[in-house]
Amino acid sequence: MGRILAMEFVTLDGVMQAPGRPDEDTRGGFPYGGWAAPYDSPEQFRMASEGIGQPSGAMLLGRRTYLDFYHVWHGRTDNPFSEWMDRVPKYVASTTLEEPLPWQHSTLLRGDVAGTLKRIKAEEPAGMLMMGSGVLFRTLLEHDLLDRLVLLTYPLVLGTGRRLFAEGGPPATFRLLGARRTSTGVVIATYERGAATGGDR
Amino acid sequence: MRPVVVSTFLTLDGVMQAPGGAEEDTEGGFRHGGWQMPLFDEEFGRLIDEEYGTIAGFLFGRKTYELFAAYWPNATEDLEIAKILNTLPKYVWSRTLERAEWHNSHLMRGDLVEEVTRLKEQPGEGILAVVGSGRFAQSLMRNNLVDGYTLWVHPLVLGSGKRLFEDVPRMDLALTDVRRTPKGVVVLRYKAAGRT
Repeated sequence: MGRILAMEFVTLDGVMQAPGRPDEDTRGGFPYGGWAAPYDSPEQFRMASEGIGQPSGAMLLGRRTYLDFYHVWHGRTDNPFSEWMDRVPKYVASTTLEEPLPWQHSTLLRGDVAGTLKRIKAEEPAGMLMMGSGVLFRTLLEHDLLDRLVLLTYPLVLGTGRRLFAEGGPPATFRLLGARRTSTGVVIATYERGAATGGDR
Repeated sequence: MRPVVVSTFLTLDGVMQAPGGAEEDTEGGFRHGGWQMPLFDEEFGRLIDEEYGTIAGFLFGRKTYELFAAYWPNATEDLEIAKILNTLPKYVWSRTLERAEWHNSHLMRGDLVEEVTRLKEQPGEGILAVVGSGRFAQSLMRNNLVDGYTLWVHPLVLGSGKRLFEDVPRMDLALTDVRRTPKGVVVLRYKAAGRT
């Protein structure tokens, strides 16, 4: 049985909108796109990867993040991520996209996304990694499909923007596996879905 | 110079409402009051004692002040915390409160920026702590009066409730400390950018 892991970048006020670039997602007139970039550090990728644990065998993305990642990462050879992203199966939740999807090895999830994901979890033993994809993240919480959350909290408050945990979402408890920090003040905390009874790292 | 430090129990979704009990604050139909208690453990208590050991005085909004004033003078547990709360000066901002009778309380009616700046400039060691008092903490943030934060992040999501960072401006902070407790609370300490 595969697992679903989410890696999410948030500010201290829980904003997840457009961490990477100014033009990434300007919905609502969001003026702070690219807020995560100044905090990049050499150790962050390694620490986040250790939080994720076993390498994932597939990606799970909402429409917006999928299309953004496709435009940013597809076909590049100047970074360690593109080859992996091009190669692995990509599951895309969308009610508006139509096949064929632009990126190779992509599968469109339509209709009952939660039900479909339950089936796919059984078929992807190496697990699925999700990033960004705020709407899909909420669907996963509502259907208790998220197994692990690697939360990268940046040392700033924005006061505006779309939040990872939206008002009206379902309650959930987690178990902390570990919490570390980068030299730039990003806190990388790893949570496993389940009762909060403490971990060992 | 005594820094103002906002020390708040939070959930992963940033909710600060009613950590201590079901009836603490049910405003907005909040049904999750008391979410902190199952996550209390020895290490959490030790970190709280450590934090309270650095406090020189408290700044309160009305609601938290009234809640604390009704509980702590007669508390029968957490006696160290009770002693600190009952003894140290407490400054409460309210336009409606007529009296503040809890020992060493001071009802503040003047200009927020002037009064808080004056308190910060008083000589002596220790921090001026803001506990609970969400709306008041937000006023302090909007007036650039907060020097540091201790955020006690509990490993749960509630989906509703009052949040600490609501109606506040953009603020850049510097992480100064990370701790964790056996039950999974991550304690984050920050300084406001430009503060030493």
